[in-house]
Amino acid sequence: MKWNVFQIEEYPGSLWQDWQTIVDKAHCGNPMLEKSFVKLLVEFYGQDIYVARAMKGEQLTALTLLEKHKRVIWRGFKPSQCQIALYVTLESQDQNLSGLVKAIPGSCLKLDLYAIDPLEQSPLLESIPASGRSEFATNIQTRFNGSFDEYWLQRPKKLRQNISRYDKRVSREVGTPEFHIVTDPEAICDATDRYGMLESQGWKGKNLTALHPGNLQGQFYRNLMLAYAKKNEAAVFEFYLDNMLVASRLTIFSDRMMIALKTTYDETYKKHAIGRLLLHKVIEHLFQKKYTQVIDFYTNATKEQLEWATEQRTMYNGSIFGNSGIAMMVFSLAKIKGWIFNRLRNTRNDG
Amino acid sequence: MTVEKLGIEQLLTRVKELDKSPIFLRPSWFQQFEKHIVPASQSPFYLSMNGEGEQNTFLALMEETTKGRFGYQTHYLHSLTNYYSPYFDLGGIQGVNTYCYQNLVSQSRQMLTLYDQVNLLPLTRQQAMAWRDAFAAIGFSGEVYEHSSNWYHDDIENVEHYWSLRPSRLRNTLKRKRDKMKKEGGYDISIVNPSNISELRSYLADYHNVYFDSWKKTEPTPGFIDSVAEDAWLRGELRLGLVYHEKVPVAAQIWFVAHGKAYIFKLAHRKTYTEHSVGTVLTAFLFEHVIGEDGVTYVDFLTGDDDYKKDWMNHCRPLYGVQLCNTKTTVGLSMSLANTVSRFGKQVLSAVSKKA
Repeated sequence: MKWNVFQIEEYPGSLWQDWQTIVDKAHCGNPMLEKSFVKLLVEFYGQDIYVARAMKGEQLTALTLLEKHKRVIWRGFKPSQCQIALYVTLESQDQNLSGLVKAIPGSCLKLDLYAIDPLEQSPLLESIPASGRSEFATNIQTRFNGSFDEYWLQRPKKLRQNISRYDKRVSREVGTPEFHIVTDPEAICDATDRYGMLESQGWKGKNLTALHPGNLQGQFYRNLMLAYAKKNEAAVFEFYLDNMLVASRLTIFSDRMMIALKTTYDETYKKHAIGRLLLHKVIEHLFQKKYTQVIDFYTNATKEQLEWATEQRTMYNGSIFGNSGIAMMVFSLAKIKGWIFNRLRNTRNDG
Repeated sequence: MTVEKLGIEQLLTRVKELDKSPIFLRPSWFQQFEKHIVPASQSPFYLSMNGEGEQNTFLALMEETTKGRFGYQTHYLHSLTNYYSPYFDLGGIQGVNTYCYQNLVSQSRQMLTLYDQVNLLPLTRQQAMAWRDAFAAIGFSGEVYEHSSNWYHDDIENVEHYWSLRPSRLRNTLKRKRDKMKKEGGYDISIVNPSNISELRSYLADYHNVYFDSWKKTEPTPGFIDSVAEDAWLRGELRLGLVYHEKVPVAAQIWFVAHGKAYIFKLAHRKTYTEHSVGTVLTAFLFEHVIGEDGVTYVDFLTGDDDYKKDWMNHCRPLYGVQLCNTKTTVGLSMSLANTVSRFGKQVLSAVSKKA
């Protein structure tokens, strides 16, 4: 594999066609690696993006998107809306990552790649030395094998009891939530806006991390959901109480997998665990309809979330060092400096 | 007479929302402000004062402590305001006067003197001076500074009267643009009248989509806009104007109307529709509605000295902030001295430049 790195505007040929060609052959059915997802990420969040392209002879074998992070450090382009490394490859063997680092223009002492998914990107993961790998998140999936009742019976007893209790409490105190599924392209933008306006009323709104039709993130998801709805590959699941939206989930999917992109709920219904009741309903619905094989949460699962999963896996970050001697020395010195700084700060705070 | 430090929940139960309170000084405004805007580093509270048999009045504040490079701490008290706030004053009372400020400050002396600096804004000049004098009595030195401007129109008799006072340039532009929109067709302009909150949110989403595509900077906390708009809608005070072209929202404005006054809170149009002046046409539509239908005699463009405002309004007044430094604390005194030196420096520079 021989790597070349180009500024995205100077990529020779049609980048998105090349990207999709690799996805179709090696990552088929992962909606988060589809060109329609990645292209939108670049349009909304990309600034000074570089494309690294690997060829084997005349054949394109891998593509990844990079950006300069610090003077001699580069990183994979991965806005927070994306939970997987934007790296697609046809090569099942070594990825020649040292060749990739060498191909980066200027001097690159370190390249960081975030959120490497072993299920999707094992050749990449295996090409990174163990010393350069670190755990990023514990991701979970729920596979729709068998019936919902079988799945539910296999969940921990405490989860089943809690959901049953919440369900009764909601019915008793606020009524039975109405379940809506929005898939129509004509309605999906409004559903995404509703999602954003609900999320903005909660803690994420105050933290300035909520999506909302009035901000860039809201517009990104609006465009994303519309693009996937046009392919019949997007669904917004909603819960209503008294005609008021109280919980919502944004998802995109293929025959192979559904990705739970975002979830929110009305915090005034916190004690009713309305968000969890919606998840229960969504999983039940997906077991019944079976239009996809698995739902992947692409999240760092909490202990409570693990209870819903049929499968779990560790996602990784990876660092590849350039000129190994100099790089090791520079980063060791940086680590020592950080350690001394922390010690001094702790001493001062203790004092 | 007693002064108490309250949280928002206590305030909401103690202070009745006076019908005639300006929207921006009501407990419900501050409740939304706390919910959406106040950062974790700042703690809001309300100084509530009540006399026998009198309505509670309150001052909405937030405290903040910062740590300097050499470890010293500075204790600030700020008005519970930011760029969304067109006014600041005592809440829960009609006819605030200098005596009210003096009373509140003297009654809260013990608490207020714990702070090194108190910052209040936006204020009229009269208010800023009154706060400065009230705080001077408890050992604070005050610096009044210009903060922003407020365009408004008062004494409006009716729609014809209002238009008769506008420059002919504006009237001609409006006629031309209205005719053009009519000729092109596909435009729909209205002040929406949602029947439920979900419908309102859908219109608000249209507003936000327009706003995002306008020339304006993205709102950091759009949820605040939604909350105050919903609150105003529940009280019948919201006027949400929208222009659609081929069913796509292209201009949107949020106005509030209360007690004979209209407040222009938010306005935006899509960049691609600038040459069609859809915003101007919508502003005119809303003016005619609030004067003709709601019977307002006063329209307020709130803060900001944008050039286009002068065509619609007949008065502009500067808005001020006041920085009050506690001369009884070391940090406060040093801040006060810094202000004095800065003021002196500016005076010298001004004198030199005049001579030159």
